[in-house]
Amino acid sequence: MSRVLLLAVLDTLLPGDAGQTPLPPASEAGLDLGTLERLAEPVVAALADRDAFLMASPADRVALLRIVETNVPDAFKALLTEALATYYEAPPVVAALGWRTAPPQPHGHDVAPSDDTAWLALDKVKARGQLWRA
Amino acid sequence: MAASEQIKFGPVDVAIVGSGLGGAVFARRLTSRAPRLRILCLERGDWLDRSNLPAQQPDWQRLALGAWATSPNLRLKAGGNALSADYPIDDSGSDFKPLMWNGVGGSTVNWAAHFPRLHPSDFKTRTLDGVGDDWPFSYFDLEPYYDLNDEAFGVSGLAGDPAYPAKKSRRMPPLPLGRMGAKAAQAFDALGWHWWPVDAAINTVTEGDRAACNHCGPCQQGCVTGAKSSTDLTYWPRAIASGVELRTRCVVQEIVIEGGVATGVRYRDGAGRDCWQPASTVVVAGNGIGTARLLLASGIQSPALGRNLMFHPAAYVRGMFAEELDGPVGPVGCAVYSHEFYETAASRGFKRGIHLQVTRENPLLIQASRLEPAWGAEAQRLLREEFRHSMAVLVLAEDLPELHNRVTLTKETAADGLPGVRIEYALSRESRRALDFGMARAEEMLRAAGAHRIVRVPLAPYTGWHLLGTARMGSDPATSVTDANGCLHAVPNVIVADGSLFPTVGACNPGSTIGALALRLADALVGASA
Repeated sequence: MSRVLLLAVLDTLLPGDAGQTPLPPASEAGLDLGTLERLAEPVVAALADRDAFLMASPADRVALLRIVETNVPDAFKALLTEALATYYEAPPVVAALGWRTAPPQPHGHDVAPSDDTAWLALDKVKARGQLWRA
Repeated sequence: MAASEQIKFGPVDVAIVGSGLGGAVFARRLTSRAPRLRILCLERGDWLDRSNLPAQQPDWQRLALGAWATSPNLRLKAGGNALSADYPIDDSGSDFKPLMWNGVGGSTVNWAAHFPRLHPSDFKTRTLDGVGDDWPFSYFDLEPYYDLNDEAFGVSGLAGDPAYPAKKSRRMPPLPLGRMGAKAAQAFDALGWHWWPVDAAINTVTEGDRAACNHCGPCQQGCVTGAKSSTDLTYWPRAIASGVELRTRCVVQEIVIEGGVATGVRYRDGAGRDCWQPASTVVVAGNGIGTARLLLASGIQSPALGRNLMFHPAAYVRGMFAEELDGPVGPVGCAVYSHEFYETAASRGFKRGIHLQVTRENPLLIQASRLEPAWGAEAQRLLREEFRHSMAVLVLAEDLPELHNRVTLTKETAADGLPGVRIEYALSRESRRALDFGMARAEEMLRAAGAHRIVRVPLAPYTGWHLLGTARMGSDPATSVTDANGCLHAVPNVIVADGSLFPTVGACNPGSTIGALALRLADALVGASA
């Protein structure tokens, strides 16, 4: 399978966007393509006409991949699962979504402390009296 | 030694199968009340290694979907997890997929540590509402044990919730609501509905060598800091210090019964050797699936055994907000719940009630993996809209005991040497009505909070944490498996000490009640032996 074809498939799955912090297309996200290439083989093999896929517009590529998804659902799902994991763990993608690229530990995350105002609102709940049934 | 030769151990007074919530609590209570007893626990898995948990790894989200998934079947599919001795469960006939951990601490290792109690009405649904069955004791009989269990686990929260009889002051202040929780609280308040910050078995202040929670997020892949309570951190160190022996990597194959009396257990150790452990009393605490599997595999005859499997059917409603929220961080089971609709109201068209819980949101990859459509520009647009801008409301309903929801053995022998296991569970019409009602209320709250788009998940299959009811307590051997003290009607020196015992399940998480129940059962055994 050509690298061009693999990237065309991945970019159809994960095209990115042009937001204020643009989400890169899969081909520009610096992904490790090793496992993806292997998983893409049966998906690409199910394309009726690979050249036509490469020549097609983005919208037509979506339609062609939908046919493949229907015809080889397990292989397609395996590729998609791996593509999502690889893509959404990629630092440029995580950063584009405004998230931290470091794992959750050891630093954890800040959650705003609750102030007394929040708990004062519970007075209204308390004022209702017993809500449980004996 | 020949491979086929059985290793024989000296007798113990009590052999406990399973080191999870029920087993750990039972062991600790028993040894504190009867220190001369020789108590052994056999655990099929291993101790957690906190130095190498997913939350410290760059690929932590991928691990949460694979080898550290909450589903044993998914872990096995990903190649298995060395610390959780999982066995495959045929769940193809079940609307909900079972979740658990099969190592020291059981499912407290990967639970959310949401720690509500049942309501008093949950103990007498037959008397009050004409459905289900009454428990053989009341909330108030169990209340002192709830208090003891709270103290052992360490609960953060706020006393004074009028949805419950008065509870003692919680040892630690509640977990922070965060922006998402505060917004939910304001909406509940605006609607005039009950809401309260959750009780959680999670440290909000440092206690000993267990840190305060730093809100990292992936509680369900094991807690790196130990802020989240699990029995490997709470009950077990004390039980072991008191002389209880915990043997890991020991898969019990059979409770051996002679003349209607259990004489011990046969197990396979970590080296694959066949072992014989004589015991005067056998306690089984392997959760609603594992316990039923072992009892059935041991030839226990009891019409209700394995039946009445209950899960707490679950649905989600997710609201999207224009402003940024902090959903993907913090302990997953937090921050607030509403029991406005927990008690029965005839006008709703179903008996019993629902629990609404505003939970933290999924991390990025998991949110991205659950979109519809799953790929393409529209999926990425939806993710942009949702990630850090959503609030999820979990709707839990009370499912009632039904004989056809059950655990059975298959004809195959699994890799762990036991018969294979299958579960069957079909959501009842009553439960469907309850979930639909709950989703409508959740949507009402989310709209009041300002959500501009709502997504309903009418059935959430991977929420099968609560494995309950398959060895229920009662007085009639035709309809129950054990007596009020967990002793099998068929073999009285076999005691069940986990959520299998629940005759009914309420509509909220069972961990707190399993712990309280195990304390009570241990006291009953001491009392019976005195």
